[in-house]
Amino acid sequence: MAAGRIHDNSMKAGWSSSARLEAEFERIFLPHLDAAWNLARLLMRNPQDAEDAVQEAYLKALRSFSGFRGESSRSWLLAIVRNTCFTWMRNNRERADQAEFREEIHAVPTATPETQSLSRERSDAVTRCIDLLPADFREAIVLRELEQMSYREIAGITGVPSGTVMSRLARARSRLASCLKISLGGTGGPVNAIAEQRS
Amino acid sequence: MTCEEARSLLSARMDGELDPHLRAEVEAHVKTCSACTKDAETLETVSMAVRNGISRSTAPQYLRDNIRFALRAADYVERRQAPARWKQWGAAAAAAVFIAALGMAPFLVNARNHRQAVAQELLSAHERALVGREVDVVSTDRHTVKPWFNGKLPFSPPVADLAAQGFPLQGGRVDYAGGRPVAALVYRRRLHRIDVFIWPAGDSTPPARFESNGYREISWKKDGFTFTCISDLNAAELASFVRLLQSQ
Repeated sequence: MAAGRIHDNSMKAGWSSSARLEAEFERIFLPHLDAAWNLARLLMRNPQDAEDAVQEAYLKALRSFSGFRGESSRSWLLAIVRNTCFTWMRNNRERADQAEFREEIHAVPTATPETQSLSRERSDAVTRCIDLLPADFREAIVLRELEQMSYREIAGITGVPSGTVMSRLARARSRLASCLKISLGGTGGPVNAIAEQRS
Repeated sequence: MTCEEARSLLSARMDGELDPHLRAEVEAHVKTCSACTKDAETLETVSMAVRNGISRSTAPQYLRDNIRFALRAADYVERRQAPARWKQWGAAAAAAVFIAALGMAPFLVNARNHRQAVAQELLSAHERALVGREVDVVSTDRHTVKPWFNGKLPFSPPVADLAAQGFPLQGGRVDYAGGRPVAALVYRRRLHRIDVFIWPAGDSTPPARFESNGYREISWKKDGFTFTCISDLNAAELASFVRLLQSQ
């Protein structure tokens, strides 16, 4: 039907008839928007790209909704989000690599304005150090520390064996420790601040 | 268990991911090894620093709105719904419609071609402006743009400023499409330009959706005007922009 290709002023046409499907999709997946956003934000290291990726992921999820079998909806959605992010990063490798090595934006500041609170400074340092990790380490850290997922869940989302998740987390944490200068007999900087906070 | 073996398992131990047998071995080693005890503490510190440092942030409200809208506007819905409706109709009814459609085909194709042509013309106007003048009147607010059209056009287009919603109005110009002068409003979203063409509703109506060369065109009628917006912005954000304009 030729007429079918011309959608006459009717963005609304599909709305009522599919309202139930969308309502169901929204009910299941919109509550995970913050988790999706945080994963994308930390993976992409840039809020605009993260927004685009999250939107794209939701549309992809809607399209594959018929393949959703009622397993963990958060894991199902986050798998699509991370795949979208990784595809984007692969396609924009040049840009991503530049970000990886642009040390001046990641350098830990030596002096701090008094107006900036200590916790803010600490949080900036953590974000910078996470930004410096390879992408597959970043996602393991985010899924574990922020989403508090089990190794099995993380393995399911990232498509690698649990053993790989284990070693990625171990290596990521050791890199973070040296980046944050938290180490045996730590030497000044953010180290002591964080250590003090613990005691 | 050697120190090296234990050390490689400290992270999984902290996460409670070791099986009982292995965990017992690691615990036994850590108890007698001060270096591993210290490493285990270091890991705890790192983990806590990360948890405190990347506190969960809430997704921006406009992102939530955009997604909700994009989901509703998704092409997917139209494609998916079409077969379902067909199934409900009897085969005879479907055949009758098919034959009727064949009879109307020449007319439909003709109308379609005309409308595609208008869409294409508007797209050319958009691309022309990309390389030449974008706006004739520069503005950051509708009160300077709307009066500017007086005397330049035989109608007064509605002008909305959507800066607060993240689509600042850049200005306006007079353009030509479909053999008539049209008002063109220029908005911006990050690095993307959005042109909105407005003219009195008549027979030159582009299809509600049109895509070409990576540009999206969305058209609608409202308050006696035809609106067509064109941009290379992503579908979700463009849909959100259209909704904002339609609700003005």
